Amino acid sequence: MFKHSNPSQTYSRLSRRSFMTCAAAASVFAPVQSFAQVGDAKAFDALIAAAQKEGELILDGPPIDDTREALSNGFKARYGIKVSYISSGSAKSAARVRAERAAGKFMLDIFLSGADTPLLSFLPNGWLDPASPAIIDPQVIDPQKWQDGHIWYADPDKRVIRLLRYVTPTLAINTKLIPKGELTTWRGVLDSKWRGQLIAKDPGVTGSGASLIAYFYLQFGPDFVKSLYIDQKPVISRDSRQAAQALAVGNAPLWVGPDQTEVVRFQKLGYPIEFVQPTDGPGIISGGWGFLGLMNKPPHPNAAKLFINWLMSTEGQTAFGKTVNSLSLRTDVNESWAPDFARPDPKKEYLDTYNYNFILEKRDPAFEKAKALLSL
Amino acid sequence: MTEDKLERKNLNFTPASGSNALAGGVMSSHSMFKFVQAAPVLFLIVLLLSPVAITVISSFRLSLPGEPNVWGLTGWISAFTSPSIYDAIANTFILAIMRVPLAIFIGALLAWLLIRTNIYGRKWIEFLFWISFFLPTLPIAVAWTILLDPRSGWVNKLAAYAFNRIEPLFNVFSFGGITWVHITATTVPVMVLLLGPAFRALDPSMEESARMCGASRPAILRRIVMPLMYPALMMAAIASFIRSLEAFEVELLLGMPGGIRVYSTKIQELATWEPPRYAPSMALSVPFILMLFALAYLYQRFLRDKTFTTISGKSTMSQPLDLGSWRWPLSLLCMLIATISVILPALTLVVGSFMEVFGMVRADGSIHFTLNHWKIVFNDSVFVISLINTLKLASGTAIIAVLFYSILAYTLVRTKILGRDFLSLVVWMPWAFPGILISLSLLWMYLGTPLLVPLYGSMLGLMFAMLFKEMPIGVNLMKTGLLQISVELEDAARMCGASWVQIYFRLVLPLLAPAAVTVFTICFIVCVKDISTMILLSTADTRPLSLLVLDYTSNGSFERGTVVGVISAGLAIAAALIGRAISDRLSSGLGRS
Repeated sequence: MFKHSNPSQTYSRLSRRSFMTCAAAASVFAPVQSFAQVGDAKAFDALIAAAQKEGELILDGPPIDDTREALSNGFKARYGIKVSYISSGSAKSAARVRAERAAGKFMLDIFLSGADTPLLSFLPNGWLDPASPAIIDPQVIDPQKWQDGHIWYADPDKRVIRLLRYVTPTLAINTKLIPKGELTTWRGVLDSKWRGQLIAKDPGVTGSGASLIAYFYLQFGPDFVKSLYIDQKPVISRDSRQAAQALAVGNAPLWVGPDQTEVVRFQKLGYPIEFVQPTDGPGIISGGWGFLGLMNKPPHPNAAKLFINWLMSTEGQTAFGKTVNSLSLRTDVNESWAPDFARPDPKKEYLDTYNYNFILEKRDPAFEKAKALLSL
Repeated sequence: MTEDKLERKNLNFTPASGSNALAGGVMSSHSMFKFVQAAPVLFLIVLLLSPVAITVISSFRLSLPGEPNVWGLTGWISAFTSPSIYDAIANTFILAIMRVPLAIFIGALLAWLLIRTNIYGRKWIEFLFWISFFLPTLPIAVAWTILLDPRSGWVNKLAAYAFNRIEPLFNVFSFGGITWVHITATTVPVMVLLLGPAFRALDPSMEESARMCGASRPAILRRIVMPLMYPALMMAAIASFIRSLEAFEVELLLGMPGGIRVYSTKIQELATWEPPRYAPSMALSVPFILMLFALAYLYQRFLRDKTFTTISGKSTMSQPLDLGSWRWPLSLLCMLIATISVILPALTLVVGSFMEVFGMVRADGSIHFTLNHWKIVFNDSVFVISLINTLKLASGTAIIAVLFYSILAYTLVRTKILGRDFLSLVVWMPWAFPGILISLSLLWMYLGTPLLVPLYGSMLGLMFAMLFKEMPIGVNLMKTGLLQISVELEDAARMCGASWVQIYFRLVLPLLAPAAVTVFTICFIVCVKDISTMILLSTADTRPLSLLVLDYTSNGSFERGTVVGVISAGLAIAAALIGRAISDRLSSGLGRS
């Protein structure tokens, strides 16, 4: 067991306080990675002390109250460090940082977001420090604790850490209107009997909307996209609650691009709605809000590094994953709350929409072509 | 008395004119005095035009902030060659044209009935319309979808059952549906709010004279009341028109399923795209700026050489107009409109905050109520600090707004300070931008100007942003109020030896009390509700309640957002009651003196 996983052990090491204080003072003047590049309990203790001396962390994270509470309270309870949580949302977070940096201000320590903002704004603008040297907690750095035996990075330079990976539902049906087993393929969605009746997530929005339409374009071609979004006359929705409600009460028999949280909410009220995994195309893997980055020139460099280590720990991942309904890439997180469909099936094929090459090389060109096709 | 004549009477602010600013190449002391007087006005013009300049310049800048400048027309070309943009423009204008005349007609009629006639319960009904303005719009729109959804709406189901109809009676996902929701939830209540002070300031002796001359009630309304109300009506019409061009929340919810996309949604999308597309987003905003300039110019020209004075030393309070046999039917009509606009939505909101899922019963038809959403909100670690921040922000902004806007309006109406005509146009400018662009422009302005950097993330910075945003409504409401007050009253006070400060605080401000209370209330509630302006300017320490709503709704916790909406409405009602109490006290104090 490592020190930070048990608060009582933290205090049991107070006999070494003198050493720790010196180490903390040194860490203020020298980058922490100089202590160790691999799991090193002493270096990690030094990091904790230095971070506690800074006393604060500025985090721009998902605009989700449960996540804010879990991360702010969890980190403070563990290390006594205050988290100033800004919840701008991904694109607005980039707008803030862009303006701050243009004015020579460096006000953010950590960002936690979806895929687009870090890959399309933070990385190209050089706002990030490499994340890998910051990971020094022996419990985190252990490759056996991670799926496929390694820590996951989103980019080749290892500046953005990926924390989450799960199967995202792409189709939901009202089982009162479509009996189970009747609709099993994407081609089936094009059946004329669903014309004017289906709901589709707005294909013109960035993020998951872009990923879905790019998936259709790449997987089934432009004719499929045209048939689905034009010929089938779908009701376009950008409001997940509204769409889920329409599906639940039977206003629409099927929903292309459903929101998992909303569907589960209405299932709990007893409405006959279910997810369907079409068999004629690969499933879609997502990373949710699971991209983590360390800003360069952060105002609280040690607190920022400590936060990265905490969020990647079992405790941090357990607290975080549930609030965003997503599965961790760690292997030792209790995720009994998660639905079965969210776990990737090793026998099935999936398209990872959070893959670096997919986003930069395939998704956006396909998205632009699909938009032009639909005159969006 | 014309506006110009009013100005000429105010000798303190307009020294005898006639000398040129530069006579014989030497600046006279009088010209220097004029210039010094004009300095604050010029400073304000520069300040107000800065975001306009940033917007126009950014529309040609292809690079993003912090990158080397690259200039070009690509932003404009991509904005106006986008395949769906002309549909969006057409949809936006159709909605505005459907909404504004109807809202003006209903709003003006209601305001007149509630303030100038003897309908039953008029004070209470008027206050109900104020409450309507305080309610969060989105849950109300959702509530209307539950009632008027073409397939599952309760009203449509009832109509189908009662009249054996196959086709739905109403479709909320249509132009008509969007107009209905706006008119009931926002536009008509706002009209009552905006027109109320002007109706209240009308000199009753004019109506009484007309009545004694045998004029009928409709004739009095058409030929006496309405012409005197033109400044307020035009201001309300411009406000409503511009606001309807900018509206996007309800349009997104109700328009998207019906394929109705609007212009301002495009601006929002482009500004928050990843990576952001500021140039086309700003390019789409420039027509807003030009249109607003044109409307403001026409408004100003209309006011020129006309008199709207209705408050003089000779005015007396009188009984409200007796509606005779129309009293009961019109009272019932007002009550019906208030019920649809206010009571039903407010009840829906409160009840919805206790439901498991807002507005939804379980599949078996049972309804389960819960305190859970309220508990979660009250236990949220940032709730208290957000509440305190909102109270500081809203009350601070509202108090400063009343003082600042009234002084500014006084300067525009009563003085001949250099540049005031142009300032009158420029005060409309903050309405040329959707909230997210105001936020972006101010973010760039704060961080790009060394002296303003401390404003970024501070409470003062947020207050400044909100004062900037609400300047058009605040200053023009005060102007409308001032135009109705005779300058003779100030002259009399001045002749009795009162200083300008005494005249302003003991005479002008109390006479402006109805407008001041409206400005106070509007600024307070906008601070409580605003998300888009504050999202880029606040930090964890200055986070207001409205951003808490964003957190909740982003997670699909619509019910928690509704709880905060109910709390916010409660705060605003308290503020409005306090404002009205102060207004009554000021007015009665004036009456005594």
